[in-house]
Amino acid sequence: MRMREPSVLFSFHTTAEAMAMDESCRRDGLPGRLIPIPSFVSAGCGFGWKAPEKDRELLTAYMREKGLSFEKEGIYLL
Amino acid sequence: MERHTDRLIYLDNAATTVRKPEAVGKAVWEAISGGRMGNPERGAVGDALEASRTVFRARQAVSRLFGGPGPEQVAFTANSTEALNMAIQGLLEPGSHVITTVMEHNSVLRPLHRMEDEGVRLTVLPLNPGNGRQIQAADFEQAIRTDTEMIVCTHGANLTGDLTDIEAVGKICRRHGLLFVLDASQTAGVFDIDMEKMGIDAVCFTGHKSLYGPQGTGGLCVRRGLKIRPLLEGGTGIRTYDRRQPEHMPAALEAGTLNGHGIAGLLAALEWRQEIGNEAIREREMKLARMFYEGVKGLPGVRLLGNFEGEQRAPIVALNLYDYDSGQTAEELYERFGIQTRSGGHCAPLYHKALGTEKQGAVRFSFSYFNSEEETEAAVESLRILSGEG
Repeated sequence: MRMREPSVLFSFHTTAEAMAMDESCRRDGLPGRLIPIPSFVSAGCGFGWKAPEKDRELLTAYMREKGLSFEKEGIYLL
Repeated sequence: MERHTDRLIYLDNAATTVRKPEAVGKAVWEAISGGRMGNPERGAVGDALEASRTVFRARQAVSRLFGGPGPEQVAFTANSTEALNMAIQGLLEPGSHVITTVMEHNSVLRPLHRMEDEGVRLTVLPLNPGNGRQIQAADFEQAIRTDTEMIVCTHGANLTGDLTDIEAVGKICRRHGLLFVLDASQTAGVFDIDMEKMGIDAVCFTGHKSLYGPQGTGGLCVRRGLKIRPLLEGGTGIRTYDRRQPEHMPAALEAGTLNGHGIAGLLAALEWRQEIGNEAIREREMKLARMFYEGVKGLPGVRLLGNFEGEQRAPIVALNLYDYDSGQTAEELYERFGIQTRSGGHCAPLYHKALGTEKQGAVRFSFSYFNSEEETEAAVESLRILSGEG
C-alpha cells in the first residue's frame, strides 16, 4: 500500500451532491477528485472529494460561493 | 383482410414516438457497447463514476426543462405511471381530499382509486358543458373543501390533446395551500412547464413520448422540501446501514439500479431538444395536427372529440367514423392504407364515458416532429375514402 498523506475530505449526503461537486470542480479546475469514501469517515453516499490538505480553505470558500452542499469535512490520512 | 400497401405511416405518437433523433440511438448504443456504463451512483471509480456523471447530466437537463429546483430533485423511474404512483401514494394520507378530472389516464385514476380504498376522499371534475366541454381552473377552485390537500391532473389529455391551464391551476393551489401534482406525459418538452412560475410541486414525466427518448425512462421532478414516502425501498448506494430508505432526494425515490443505458439516451434526447428548441418542435407537431384536423373536420360521418377552438393543444386528433367501432376503423386504416393509429379506450375510462364513446372507443391520430406533410395528407386521404364509402 502506498504512503497515506494528510488530505481534506468532503463527504456528501447524496450522490447528486457529489456529482455536482465533481462537475463544478472539474469545470473550474479546482484541485481534487472523487474517491470511494472510507467507512471510518461516513456511511453517506459512498463518494468523497479528496484534495491535498493545503487546498482546504480554497475548496471550502469555493463550495460556499457555488452553493455546493456537503455532509461533513475533515483532514484524514488518505 | 390483407394490408394493401407496404408503406407504413406511424401516427400513434401519443403512445410512444417510434422515430427518435439519431443521437438517442447512438447514445444508447454507446452506453451498452462502449463498456463504460458501470452502475450509476454505486461507486466512485472509473466506469461507475462515468455512469454517475451521465445520470447527473440527465438530472440537470430534466430540472432545466421543468424550471425545477435542481438536479438532486429529479428522480428517475421507468415511466410516468411509476412516477405518478410515487407522487400520489407517497403524498396522500387517509382522510385527505384530492381533486382530479375525468380527463385523466389510468396512471392517475387507478392510484387515486387505490388511495380512495384506503380512506382518501376523491372529487373527479366533470367536463364543463359551458366551456367547450373543457375543465376550467375555476372548476378546480369550486371543488376545494376544508380537507383538500392536492390537485392532480394532466397537462394534455392523452385522448383528445385538450390542455389544462396549469398556470391558473397552480395559482389556485398556491392560494389555497394545496399540493399540485402534474401529469406531463403528453406535453413534456413540447409545452412550457415551469415549476417555480406555475406553482407545481411535482412534475411526472415519461421519456419515450414527446421527449423522444427511450422506453423505460421517466421520472419526477419534485419541489425542494417536499417529502414523498417511497413506494419502493432497497439499494441506493448510500447510507447502507440505515434500516429504511434514505430521506434525501433523489435516493429517497430511487431504489435499485437505474436504467443507465436508457438515461444516456434520454440525455441525448434532451440535448437534441435544447438544440432544436421546444417552440420549433411544438410548432411542427401542431402544424401537422392542425393540417390533419382541417382536412377531416368536414368529412361526412367524422365526429371529432375535443376542443379545437384554442390555438394551443397537444398534437392529437381523436375521432370516430359513423357508428363504426373504433377498432374496425383503425384496422381498416392499417390494412388498406398502412396508417397506424390507436383505437379503443386509451386508458382513459372516465373521459370516454363523459364523451359518450365508452362503447365505440375512438381512433386517435397523434403527430410527431418526424412526421411529414405527405404522411399527414395520406392520412386525410384515407379518411376521405372511408368517409365516402359510408
